[in-house]
Amino acid sequence: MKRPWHLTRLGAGLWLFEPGEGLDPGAAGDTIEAVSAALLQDRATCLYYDARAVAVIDPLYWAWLRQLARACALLGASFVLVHVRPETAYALSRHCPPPPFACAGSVPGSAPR
Amino acid sequence: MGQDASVQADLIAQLQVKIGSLTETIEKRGRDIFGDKNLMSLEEITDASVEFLELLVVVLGSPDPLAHDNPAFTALTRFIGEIAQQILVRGGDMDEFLRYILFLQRLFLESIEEHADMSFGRARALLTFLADLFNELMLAVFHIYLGEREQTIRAQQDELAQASTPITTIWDGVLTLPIIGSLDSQRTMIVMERLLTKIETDRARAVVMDLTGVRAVDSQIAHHLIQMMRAVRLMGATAIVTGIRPDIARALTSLDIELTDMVTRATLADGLKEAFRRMNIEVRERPA
Repeated sequence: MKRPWHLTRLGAGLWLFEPGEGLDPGAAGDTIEAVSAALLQDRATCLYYDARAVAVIDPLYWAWLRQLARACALLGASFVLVHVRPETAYALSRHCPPPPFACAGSVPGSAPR
Repeated sequence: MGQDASVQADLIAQLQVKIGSLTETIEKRGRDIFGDKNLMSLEEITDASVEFLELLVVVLGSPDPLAHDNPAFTALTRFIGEIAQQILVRGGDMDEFLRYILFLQRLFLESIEEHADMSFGRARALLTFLADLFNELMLAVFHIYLGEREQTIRAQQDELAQASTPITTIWDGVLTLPIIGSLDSQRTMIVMERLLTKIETDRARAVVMDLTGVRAVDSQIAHHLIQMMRAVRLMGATAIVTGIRPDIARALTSLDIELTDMVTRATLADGLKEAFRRMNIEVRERPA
């Protein structure tokens, strides 16, 4: 069965997580386990979460992001949310507390959007 | 034939008999009012006078002339509305246009007075009908006028919002946002929409928000400022707040919100230096 997300090794302990349309933030356990295994094996230092395809970050999705960020912290890797859409940032700033992880405009060294 | 229908028939008959002189009078008055001020060309006045009478005849000939779902009546009010709009757009005065409509009403009333053999009941029905008709036309003009005014106010508000939130790319990846005046919910939304889009398109990494021009800060405005900083951070940029006056500091600290993440500097210049520092940019004087 095809996974509704894609994990790419960027090199030097950096990884990129790209969620797909079928990602279910309510059933995060299996995904966190699979991602953690890959990060652990590579002794990853940072996981970039690409949010460009995420149109809406609701409380459930927000909880999933925090859970994944906590998993990264347990593995000694930082979690960075990248490519947040302006409308998503606006909505999040109104309804959610400050993120307990870092945010960046893009993955360092990547081409412009 | 009912009273209303016979009244309409009377009016149609009068219009048909006097169409030439009525058109001429209407046109002449139109030229005096609109032609002199160059609000309508002479051809436009002639066309409008003829078209008005034609549409009026169609309205009078319809079964329920003043019904709002009567297409003929809708066409007449739309026609009057379009002329009103045209005059407004060309800088005309609505008072004069309304007086012109009152003049049209009087013109029809005067033409009725000439019929001495008309019964009181019929004359009253005619007067009532004409009063209703012209009241509707004036209402149509009023609505157009209100619509135009609202549009003007909205345009001015937009312009003001644009002018009072000049987001400037002061360096590659560094934006400045001097906030002037007050920050209500609507303005916060406009500012944030522009700012977040600009961060995305410019790939900005730092935003210096200068509050020197903020008039007063209450808890709502303080919330909006915090919200703005939070959104900037979510976009992956750093918000550096400058120009915080004592009253703003008081409002922000009274909110019971964690402010330790907030990057602040005293002045806009200091804020820019901090932004440059964070981006490893050094600006220094060249030795003489």
